[in-house]
Amino acid sequence: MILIEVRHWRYALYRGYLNLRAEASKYHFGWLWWFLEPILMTAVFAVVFTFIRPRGGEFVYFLVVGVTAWLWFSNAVGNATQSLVTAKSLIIQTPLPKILFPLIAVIGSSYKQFFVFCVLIAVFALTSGISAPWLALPIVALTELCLIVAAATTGAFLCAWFPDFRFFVVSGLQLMMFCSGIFFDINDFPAGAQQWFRANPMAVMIEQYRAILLHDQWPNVLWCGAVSLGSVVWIGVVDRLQRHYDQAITLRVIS
Amino acid sequence: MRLENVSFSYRERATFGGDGLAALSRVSLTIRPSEKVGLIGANGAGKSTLLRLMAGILRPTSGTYEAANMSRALLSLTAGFDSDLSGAHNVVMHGMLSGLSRQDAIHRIPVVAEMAGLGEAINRRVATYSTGMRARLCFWTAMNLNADIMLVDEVLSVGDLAFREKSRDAMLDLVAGNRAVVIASHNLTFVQSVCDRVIWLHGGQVRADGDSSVVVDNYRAFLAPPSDVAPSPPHGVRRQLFVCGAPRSGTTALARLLNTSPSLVVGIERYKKRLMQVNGSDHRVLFERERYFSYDPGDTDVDFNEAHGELTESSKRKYDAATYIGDKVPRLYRRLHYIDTAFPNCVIVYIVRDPIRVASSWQHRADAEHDRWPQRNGYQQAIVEWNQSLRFAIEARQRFGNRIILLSYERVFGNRRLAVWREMMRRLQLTVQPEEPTRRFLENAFRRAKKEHAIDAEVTQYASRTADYITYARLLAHVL
Repeated sequence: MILIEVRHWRYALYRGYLNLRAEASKYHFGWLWWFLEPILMTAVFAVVFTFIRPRGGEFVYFLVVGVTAWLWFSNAVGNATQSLVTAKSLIIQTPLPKILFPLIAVIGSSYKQFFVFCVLIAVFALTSGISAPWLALPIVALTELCLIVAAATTGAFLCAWFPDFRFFVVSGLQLMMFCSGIFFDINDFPAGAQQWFRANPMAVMIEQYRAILLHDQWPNVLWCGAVSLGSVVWIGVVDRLQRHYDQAITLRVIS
Repeated sequence: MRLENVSFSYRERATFGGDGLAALSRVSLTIRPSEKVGLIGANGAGKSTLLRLMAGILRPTSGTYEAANMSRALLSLTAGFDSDLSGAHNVVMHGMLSGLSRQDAIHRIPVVAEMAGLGEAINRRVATYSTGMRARLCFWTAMNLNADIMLVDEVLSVGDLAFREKSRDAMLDLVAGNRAVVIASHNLTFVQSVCDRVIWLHGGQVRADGDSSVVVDNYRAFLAPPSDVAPSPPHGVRRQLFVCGAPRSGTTALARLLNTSPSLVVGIERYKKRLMQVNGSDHRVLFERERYFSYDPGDTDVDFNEAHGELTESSKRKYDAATYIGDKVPRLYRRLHYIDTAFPNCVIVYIVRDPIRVASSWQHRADAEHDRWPQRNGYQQAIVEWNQSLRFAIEARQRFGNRIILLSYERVFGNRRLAVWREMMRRLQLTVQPEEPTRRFLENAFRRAKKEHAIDAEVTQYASRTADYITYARLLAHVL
């Protein structure tokens, strides 16, 4: 089976769901926060950037697409980086593949994201109608999922190996967010600068979502392919490394 | 499962490199199917590390390890339970991790809830559980896992009295099954009584591996704690030994058990009246040879020949070689100050028993026709006396220190094994003696205990409500 055994996938899929339930039960608004979080973030950006330079109502649509795609990535990676450390008591108790824990974090975030995307798509469908390029949305989402798994597993193992890396993750996510074009359009920059922005795979992903939902265009196959392929290769490398250093990771976590 | 020349070292954390900390060094052992193995040794000896290696959580730094595709489960009370999830969800999670389907794991929830005594609380978040509830959930979840080899890491020393008793019973069931079981524990008596083979780890190495009685005895000798052994009297001085405990706690059975040893002569209420007399004379002379075997009408309140025929016949032969001469008087705990003053070298053997059984036994005797037992001494009076006897036991522990041996009826007579007996002999500084008579006695006692009368629900309810279980739990922590 890919990455882990079938029984571990079953466990991860159920565990991701339970983690979401547990998280929702902690707050008064429960699962409503799945939707309130992107709305709040969009509202903040909308207020701040409209204050700097007045824009039309379309800016909100522009923002909400970027914010939604970004929150999936940042929530999943943020949770995954701590996943091995928080699973210490289980790791010391049961022989498990370590990649399971960041995967659970990704699965939990993805369940949540699925509903948020559904609402987002419904809103766009009602306000702007649908078009053929929307058929590519699952492929773009799958590409982002690959990217998330690559980043989440890398972050989780680096944080387990070198706990101080957590602070780099926080700063790295902030840097990625500001360079991902959530609140600006990369195409407004000169061609040379655009390539630099596209070195950030999340900028590429947000661009593809916007192409489909805002401009009724097909996503850029080349960019999507590059991100998918790069992510899959990266996941393969991380998987090999985690298998090779399994014992060392266990000792790092439990010591 | 086979380990050959297995070594393991933990590496110091959070720094690059760092010296390895050797936890195990060149350990070789084989666990055969259905074998029950005890792991003993001081803290830091490598017991938990060895269990984690056996469970496949850690891999040896060097050496070979084979488990022949056998599934293994590590049972520990530090199990990875998620506080944010409900107890039920944690049961399902652990079941799925052990290879069960989700549906099968869900079916385990009511079983675990009942065994762990959690009831509806199984659906509450684990974060809201008390420490005891958590321990019960961990224990019973692990006990319900499917595995060819169960690896048990010190689970019997925590929790309240009821949990410890129940978990001990569950462990006994576990070792009675066909699975191989490896138990790491500091409870030497338990390990000795349930395991056929014991491995003693010391400094990460196998110090001894073999028959449980031999290895545990050697380990005890190694520890040699002078504090728990009754100090020797001056050479040639015979010592007194008194058996006491709340009436109907098994004092008579215990006295008879002690009499199976050639080094012990214990009367059965031989001097009950005299020793209980507050203004009595000096009683030291009572245990001298001539006086002990000559009956005086004021000695006891039962027919001497009926109660002491066996004592006079067999013990006359034993007396000269015996190390301890004594008597069993249940309520002697009321006279501890006097006993301590009059017999400064004496040893007290104090037995405690489950209050429900004691109360039931009192009621049974009170209800019986042609019994000298007063009718007013029913189950309610039993609990009053039982509660008092526990407080006296606490006082006795403080007063007599290493000259008191605290026993539990359930542990002495609850199985046929000799572990408690051997520990008692060690504490009395008596060398190994023929054990066959003792073994036979315990087997008979065990059979008789199985046939005990049923307990009335009213007695159970009353005893459960009014018995001083807190003091009982405190005492049980110190019984052999």
